[in-house]
Amino acid sequence: MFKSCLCKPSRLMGKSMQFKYFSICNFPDIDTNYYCDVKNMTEIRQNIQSRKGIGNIEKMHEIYNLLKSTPIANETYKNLKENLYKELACLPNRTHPIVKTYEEQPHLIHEINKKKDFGNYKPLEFSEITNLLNLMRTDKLGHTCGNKSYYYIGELAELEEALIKYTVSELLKENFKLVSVPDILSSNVLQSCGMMINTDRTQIYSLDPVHHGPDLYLSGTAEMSLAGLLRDSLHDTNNLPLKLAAVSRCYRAETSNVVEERGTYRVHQFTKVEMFTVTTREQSDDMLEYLRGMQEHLFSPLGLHMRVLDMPPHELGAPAYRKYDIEAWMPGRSNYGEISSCSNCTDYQSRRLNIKYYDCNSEKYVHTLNGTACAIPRMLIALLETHQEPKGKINIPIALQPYFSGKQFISKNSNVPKLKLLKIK
Amino acid sequence: MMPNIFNSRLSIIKIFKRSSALFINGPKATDNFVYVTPHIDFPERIKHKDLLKSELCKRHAKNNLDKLVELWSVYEELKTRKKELDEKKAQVSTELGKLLKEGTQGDNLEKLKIQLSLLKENIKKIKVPLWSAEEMAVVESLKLPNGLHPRTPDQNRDILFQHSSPSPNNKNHLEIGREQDLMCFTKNENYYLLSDLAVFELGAKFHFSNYLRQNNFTQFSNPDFTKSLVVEGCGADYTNPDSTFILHNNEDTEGVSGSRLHLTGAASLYSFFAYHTKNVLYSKVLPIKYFTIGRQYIPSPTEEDSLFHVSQSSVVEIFISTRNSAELDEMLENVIDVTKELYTQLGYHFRLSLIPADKLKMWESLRLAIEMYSSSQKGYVEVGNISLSGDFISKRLMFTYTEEKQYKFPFILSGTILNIPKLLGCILEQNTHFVVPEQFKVENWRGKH
Repeated sequence: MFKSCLCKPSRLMGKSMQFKYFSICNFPDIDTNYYCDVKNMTEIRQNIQSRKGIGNIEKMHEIYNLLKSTPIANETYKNLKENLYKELACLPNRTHPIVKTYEEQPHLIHEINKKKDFGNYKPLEFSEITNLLNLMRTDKLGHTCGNKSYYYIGELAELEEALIKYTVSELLKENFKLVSVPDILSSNVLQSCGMMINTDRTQIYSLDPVHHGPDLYLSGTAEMSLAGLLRDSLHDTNNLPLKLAAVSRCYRAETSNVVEERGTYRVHQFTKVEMFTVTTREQSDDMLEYLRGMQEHLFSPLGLHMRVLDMPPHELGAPAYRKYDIEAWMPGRSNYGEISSCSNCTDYQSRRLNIKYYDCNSEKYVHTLNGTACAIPRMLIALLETHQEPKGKINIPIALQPYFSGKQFISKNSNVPKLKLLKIK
Repeated sequence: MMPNIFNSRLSIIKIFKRSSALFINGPKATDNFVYVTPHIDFPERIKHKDLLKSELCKRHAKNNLDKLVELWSVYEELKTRKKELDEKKAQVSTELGKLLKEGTQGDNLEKLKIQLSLLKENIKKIKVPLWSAEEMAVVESLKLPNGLHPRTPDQNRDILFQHSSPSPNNKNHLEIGREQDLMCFTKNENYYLLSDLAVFELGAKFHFSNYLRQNNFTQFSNPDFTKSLVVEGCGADYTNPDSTFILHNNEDTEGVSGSRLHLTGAASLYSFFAYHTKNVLYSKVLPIKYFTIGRQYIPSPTEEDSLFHVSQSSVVEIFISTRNSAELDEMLENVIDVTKELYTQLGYHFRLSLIPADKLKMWESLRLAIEMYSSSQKGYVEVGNISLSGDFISKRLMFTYTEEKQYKFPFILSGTILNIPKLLGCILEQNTHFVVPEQFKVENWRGKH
């Protein structure tokens, strides 16, 4: 089922379809029937507004009308068409009808696990715990490995490994296909996933264009690499849904000075296990529920108190049709923090990446969905803050113990000596 | 005032262009924040000039030792001259101060005043050539490779150990990967491992990780970026895009040349040294044994596409700090035993050999290669390695420990004990049908407790 459709698109696809996107004369097959129909203008305008996104439907229509009245032979035609697709590419995906009614607030689906009662003890923050137990170094690293760098040490590094083992084992039981992905990607894959390379320069790291060539970026999530793998592929309906999973390093250049995002809450690099699925257009609503269920199945045994949220329009990225977030209670910070999200992108990405399926003698665009299975830094924050003991140890949830050399708790690390900065220059 | 002998020799200094992120002096030190200044041991090393020369020769190194000696002597002479001037200035100042205090007037006083202003002017004049001379001498001496370990062979590799024998056939791992739909390989910079091969990648990391923990190695999880100074400190050319991936300047590093970010990967020597740069440990905590599992990024130098040349690898990296060379040698034996055991368990043919001097990297004094046979290459592939670097990098990056109230430099053993794409390439070529080795299977990710 993993076969042929991935690596050998040419075998399954007609020649006419092997075009390259973002080159001068070819354009992604954006749903112009919908976006360019005057009847939908109000809806689209409303959608852009409620999602607080970019995109200008009036300007798009202006160009569209101009284009319609311009003969193909006219020299402005090509230019107009390029501008039209530039405008079209900015428009967000449609929004799920229920989500449209949420206005500004997320809709609470349900809560999982009770908040832990610490009695008189005031739970410590992650950075305080790791400092006391000597499990992490974040100080004075700017000059040797850049801002916001961190080293997990000893049992905290072991816990990271245990989380990956646990998560991937569970995903394999559910017949997800594991993929090992590249972390350096070209811009067209990123753009097709809804990343704006030029406007969001600060979000994405790139390699030095003079030294390494002009078009190489560091992947922000395995979703991008997996989407890149599926580009230009045609799938048999019988093989759908296709469920993929990847463990990868994620690089994000964004910085934050918000107090809530202090410490290792928002970092430039981290390890994440990601789920990515491909479905028919009829299957994607159910698949989103399945991904959310999978996340709940993975996180519940870890003993975290969580709330599952159906996110309002303005919280959706341009590719998403609907998105669920799971927030875990972080007792040390005394706040909820997002530990996962899952989105249904319907055909937003597949149209840009040319991913189709074969159904009753016709080709249709697949729906793509993605979801976090485990993002390490925040999961570690939630785990350590939730399972801390006043006496300075951390209990390991039973579900993780078999992957953690059978150990039941983490105690102070004395294998790694504390460093002292040299006084002399 | 400047002696004539300097004039001709100083002319070579003027054409010098700076090329170090590690050593920054003079006015450049005010433009750039200097985080660490390397300890330069050239004066000690040049005392054994013949040994140094023969080692350079064995390495086929291109360093011009005579030129370096010359540069160093210019620097020393200028330094001595400056010291003399400083001393003279101090002496004249004292005398002048005394006369002024006594209220003495006259020729003597005026003479001293003129002498002092001349001295000041000469000191000012000598500073610029001194800085240049210092920079040239230091930067050139930073290019000098490490000494050689007595066990490093002069010419041919020295095979220490061999497990079973190669089973040559005509298989090619890329073809097998493609035929069995286990791999999607576009080029060295872009490849995907699918299904069982992806399980293999994780399983191999976990298996090695588990074994190292059982052998008292402490696990780390490191950052993937390092700054130029660490890259140069570890003996690589930080300006060379073939040796590391250089990130595009962002606001972080803008304007500061020589302080770029490099994507080296968490499981690299760089990352461990970034942790220890300019830090002190107590002697009693040594030796320490660390390891990490993670990425390693090295630009692919060749046109030939295969898993043996990919630029992104999942690897297992070890890092050991010891007090001295005796402790280091002992540790090497220990690591060789660990390596034998780990690879023998896998059941495939492999060999351990010591690499000859001319194949070493400039920072290595000895390298043990872990090699497996590749049918497609018709030869051995280095699927892992263990390197000794002694105190070479510690001195450059000021990784120190204290013993009897003295600062000393730890002796380092480091290495990529497992490079997974390379291991995978070799194993794929040995099987008729690929199966994940027993030790790497998902069922065995849960320890037996």
